[in-house]
Amino acid sequence: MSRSQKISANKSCTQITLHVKLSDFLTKLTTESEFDLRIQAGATVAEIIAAIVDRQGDKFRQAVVDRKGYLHAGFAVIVNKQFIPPQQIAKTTIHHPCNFSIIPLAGGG
Amino acid sequence: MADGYWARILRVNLSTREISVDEHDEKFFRTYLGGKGIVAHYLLKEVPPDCDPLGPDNVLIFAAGVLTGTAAPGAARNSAGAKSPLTGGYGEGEGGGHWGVRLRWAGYDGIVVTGRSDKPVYLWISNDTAELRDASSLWGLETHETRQAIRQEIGDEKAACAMIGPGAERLIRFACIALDLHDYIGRSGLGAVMGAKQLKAIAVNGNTRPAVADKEGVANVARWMRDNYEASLGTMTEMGTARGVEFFSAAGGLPTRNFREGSFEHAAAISGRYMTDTILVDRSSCYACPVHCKRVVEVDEAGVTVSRRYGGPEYETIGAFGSNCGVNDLKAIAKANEICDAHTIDTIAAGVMIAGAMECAERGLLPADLIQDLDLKFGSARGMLDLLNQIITREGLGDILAEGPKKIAEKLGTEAASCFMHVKGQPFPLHEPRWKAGMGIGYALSSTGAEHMTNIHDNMYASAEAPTFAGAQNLGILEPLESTELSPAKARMWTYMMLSRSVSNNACVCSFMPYHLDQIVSLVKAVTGWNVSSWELMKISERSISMARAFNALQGFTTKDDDLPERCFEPLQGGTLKGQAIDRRQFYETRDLIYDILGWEHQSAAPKRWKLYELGLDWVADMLEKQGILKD
Repeated sequence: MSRSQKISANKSCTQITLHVKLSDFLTKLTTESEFDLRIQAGATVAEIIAAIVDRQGDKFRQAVVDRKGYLHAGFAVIVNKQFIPPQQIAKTTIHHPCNFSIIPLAGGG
Repeated sequence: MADGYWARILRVNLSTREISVDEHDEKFFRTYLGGKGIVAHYLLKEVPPDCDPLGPDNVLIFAAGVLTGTAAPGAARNSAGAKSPLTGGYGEGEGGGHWGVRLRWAGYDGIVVTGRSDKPVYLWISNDTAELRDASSLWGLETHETRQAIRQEIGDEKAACAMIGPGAERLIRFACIALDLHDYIGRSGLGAVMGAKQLKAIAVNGNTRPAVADKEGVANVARWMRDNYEASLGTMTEMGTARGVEFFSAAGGLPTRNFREGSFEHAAAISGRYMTDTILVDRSSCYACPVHCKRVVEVDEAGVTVSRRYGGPEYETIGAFGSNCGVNDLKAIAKANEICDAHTIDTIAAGVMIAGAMECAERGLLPADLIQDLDLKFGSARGMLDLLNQIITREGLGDILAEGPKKIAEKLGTEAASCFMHVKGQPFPLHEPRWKAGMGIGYALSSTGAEHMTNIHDNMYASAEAPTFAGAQNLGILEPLESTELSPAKARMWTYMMLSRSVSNNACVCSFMPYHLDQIVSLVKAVTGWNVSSWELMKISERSISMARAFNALQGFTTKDDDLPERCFEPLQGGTLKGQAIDRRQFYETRDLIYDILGWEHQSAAPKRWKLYELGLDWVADMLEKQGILKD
């Protein structure tokens, strides 16, 4: 069973609360490095990123996503300590309260 | 035959044309493992302190590792080293591809080249035979022409070539060595050493794989890599190292307009995603690597053509010729990459030298007769390419830049010299020390001068949840640290992670592979049958680093050479981290604490006697003592 299947189920109207953590330079682009975010259960990771970006404003948006709303390469999304591969971000859905982190990761070279 | 190594290092004296083999025992290979360790050993043993890097007394070493040429994923690399013509100190670099693999299949673990030929030659190694051949007709050829001509002459279309182009023949001090056409040993100016020796190429092929003690053990790790690299490396296959461009810009850590700003307003136009969507036509890889991080680009339009034969630009190249020169034209950057690859010039050094010249022009520090009709405004793709061509041909201002940053002051004055970002003469890689503060410490402390591959990328260890942080936890670093932090805790993290990352240069494993140190241990065990531990590999890494520092001490380097340019202590002028500067007191306190942790002396910057004894390097202690360098 894939990671996305484990986390996924059908969307519902239930609201859940995520605890969002930002790190490194992202904390300089916002006034809150940690906060709770209410979302609809069954939202995709991509939709959650969009909600975080909407909450944090344009400077944050420019830093984190491109014009199409895709997360810039180099960031990692971690849900309850599980790394979500970039190709799974649009498919993986969240149904339960969890810790949700966006982490600047790429080293370069 | 032992498992994992041949115990044979080919020795070639270009002055006498004598070819022989150095045979070493198991202890030698277990002490140094390969790559950097073998390079440091030979440099210390054979290069005299007063040696001219471009003279016949310099020694050029190529060294593979015990994993090279086996089925271990990401183990296709080899090191090269010599006294650097760029820094005057320890010179070393690594490259991937297929050349090191072919060398091992020919039955050698390395090559030591001494002397200087009186005419251009190339070395052809085919299994047990090695011969020097006339290369007069190859002198002046670009790299793809050189390889084609050699393969035709020897009648082997699969022979791999380590070679130089015309830039290295002209002794440009940041010339590099091409390993075929997609891989380069870029740093330290080693191509110029090859050019000075009139050694145009080393072609090699063989058909005997090194023996492996436990093939299933290697296969287990290979299977793990096959199943896990994609999730761990994210978009590396899709976009290559250029995936970092927009991200670094967002962070405020993308060197822009000569390291004065950290965010580039046109980052999207030079990004990995944009390359993928526009000029990318293929991807390539080193031997036995599933990742395929290498780019292959092609441009064929009026005004600019870029051949796919040289692959395409990596992150460092894009940063160097792109944001750091203010250039937002990805096709022009790809052209600059092609020019450098054809002529064997380090793209990092070339881009950083050009950016320095652009700032000099902006500040009125260049005489008019040197500028002539060059357009040296930041953002001018034409100016960037014109000046690069001047460097390649050693004309005008390009001829001055070709001598590297250390010679700028005597030609253009000290104020102009301050515009060229370097440590020990080696231009900065494209990582901003005011964001990655540990990287800045590493720039200062690396024996090669500013270096980015074994030093830490602080952001990878800034969150406990980052998958990369697991590598730190594995060494007992349990608390993440801010990228910009400099502190005793950062000194500890830097030291442990640097020693761990440097194992890659002894094992000749690509540092992009998402291996934990324990997995490299497993591979070395499986290949050699030795009961090695992570402790032992970390000590091999430390041994090599200490030898490199001893080499520099013998060349006259001291603590004053372990420093950063003044700009790093000044606030960034733009970008996300505008206003960020390295705190001078914190920098020196952190650096000096690392000296203590690693057992380095505070004035000579050389390893102390007890440290050399601890590493089993009594003979190095004797060398330093004879030169009056050891104080205690």
